[in-house]
Amino acid sequence: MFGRVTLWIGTKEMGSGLLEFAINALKIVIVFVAIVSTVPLLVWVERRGSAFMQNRLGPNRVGPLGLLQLLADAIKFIFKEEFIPDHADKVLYFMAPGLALLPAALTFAAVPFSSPVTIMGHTINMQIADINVGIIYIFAVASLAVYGVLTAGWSSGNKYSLIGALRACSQMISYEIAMGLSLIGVLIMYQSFSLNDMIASQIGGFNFNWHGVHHAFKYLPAWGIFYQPLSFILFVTCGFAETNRMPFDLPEGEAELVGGYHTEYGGFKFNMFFMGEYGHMITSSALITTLFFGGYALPLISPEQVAAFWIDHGAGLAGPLHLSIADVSSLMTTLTHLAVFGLKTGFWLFFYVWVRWTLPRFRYDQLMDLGWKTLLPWSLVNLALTATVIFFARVS
Amino acid sequence: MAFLTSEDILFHFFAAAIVVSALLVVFVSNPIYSALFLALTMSILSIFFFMLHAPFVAVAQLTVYAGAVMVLFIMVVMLFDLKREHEEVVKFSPVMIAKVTSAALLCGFLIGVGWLGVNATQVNAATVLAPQVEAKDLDKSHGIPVMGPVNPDEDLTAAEEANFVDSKDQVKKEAALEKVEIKLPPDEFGSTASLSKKLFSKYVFAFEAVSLLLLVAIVGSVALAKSKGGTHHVSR
Repeated sequence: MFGRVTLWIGTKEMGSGLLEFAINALKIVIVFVAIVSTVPLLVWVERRGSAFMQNRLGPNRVGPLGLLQLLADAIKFIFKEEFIPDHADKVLYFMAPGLALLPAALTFAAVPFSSPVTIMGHTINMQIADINVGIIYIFAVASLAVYGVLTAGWSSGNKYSLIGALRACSQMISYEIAMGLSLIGVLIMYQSFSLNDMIASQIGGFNFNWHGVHHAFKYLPAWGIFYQPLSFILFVTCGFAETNRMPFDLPEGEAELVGGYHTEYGGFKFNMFFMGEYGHMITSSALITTLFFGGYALPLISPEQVAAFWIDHGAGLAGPLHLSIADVSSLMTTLTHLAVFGLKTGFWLFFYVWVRWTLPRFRYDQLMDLGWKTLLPWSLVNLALTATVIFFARVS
Repeated sequence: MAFLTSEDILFHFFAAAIVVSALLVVFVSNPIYSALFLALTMSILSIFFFMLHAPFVAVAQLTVYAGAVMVLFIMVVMLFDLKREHEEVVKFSPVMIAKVTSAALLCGFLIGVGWLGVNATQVNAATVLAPQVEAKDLDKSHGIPVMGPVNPDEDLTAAEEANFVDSKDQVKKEAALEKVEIKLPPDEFGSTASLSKKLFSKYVFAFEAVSLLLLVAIVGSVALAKSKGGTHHVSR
């Protein structure tokens, strides 16, 4: 990971090192800003979507379609009175929102959001850090999100906050285990921890070897969901619990816990918890896309075919952009893949909203039962099943 | 510092950070802060594993220690009445004198062992290395014993040559510096595949034994918690 940002000082490689460093810094900034600015858009989708599902109108006064409502909300958050409870531990109270937002932003670093682009001899990966243990890195960093919740609950000096924090924390830790185990079958399938490898093996049509005979299907993409349907269901369910979303939004509960761990937070500090939650939603949607739906690649169409298409049809762009035809094709391929990734991830983000306004919430003991007594055993079953099938499929 | 890479800069930054946070674990009086600094120390440690090309160990460190173990610690500490704990430490009492005395004894023991260890290393170095060095140097410098390499033209490795301190040989030194190649470990070093191959072939017995040990601990704790009263005696 750090080998890629190596910056040589005082050697002849200084120029190229600095360029790479600058590109990496730029990528970090762009991705962070993209995630943070997707959040208000998601809030808008959530509010308008819920209104649509409940036969209401939703916010439609500020700007066209109510789109500027989010801007108004942001301004409200910033100008709200800053309030610190008397019993609060001041340092941790201020630190907690940051601790909640940080892991949400960091996890996206390992997600490849488009194919690499080659422009004027430089190849730029559309991924912040190409870590060969990408998927475990995401889990490791996501597991740190607990600290934001815990410190917020404890430092507020409020019993509702503390109980809410403990609840959120045990929920997150419990579902992390089921989530991790549900993915082991997927990892056995792809034989890699790297998200890039996973996308590469999902290109093309559904195919498998059974006792030395190759079976291939022409019109079914080789997506993870068709290889690992059980794992997909388990992973998505755990994803809802990990992001504290609706059927499992037990950390908040007006009747018993007031606002949960962020009861004492208002204004922009509350907004940061909010952004953290939506950030986790974005990463988790991106992960569902990458693991089970082919990532940025188009179904049944390989990146080479997309590049060939743009070589044929993108000639008109080469002149105005002052680029060679190969560069234009590479650039347009990357943009196509970016759009595909955005669409797939966008669908799963909408799915989160959809489920939130469709399903009733669980009771806390039901939630724990579901996690430990249903999801965990089923993910172990999935693991055993996958291992057995792969073992016997290899026998020729 | 003619050869400062970004990895060096990152190393020194994180090394300073980990020392500071590890010290703060001990010196901060609030146990919550102490536990949080311990979690920070674990996280920085995982960054070091990343920099040492062991990504799997790094993420395992992060998930297991910072993500799970320390979270449980903090959850437990949060349920304590910290004010009473604080008074317990600050209050002057016979128990406190015993605590301070035992802490001082432990420190004395550790310092003593450390001092003995250092002495033992020096004795070893003197008895094992010295004769060889002397014989080699006597041979090269016509009977006058000198420390360190004498003739830069003899067959030294590039790295040794880079360390050779001689202001007159500045040119040679720079030439030597160019020869120094930072050898990166092979790609499979520290990778998950190579790690798991070792873990599930050579060390499979130890691996399974450790998991059995953990299972025993889990079953034991459940049994303790389930038994009547558990660790707290509740009269029924």
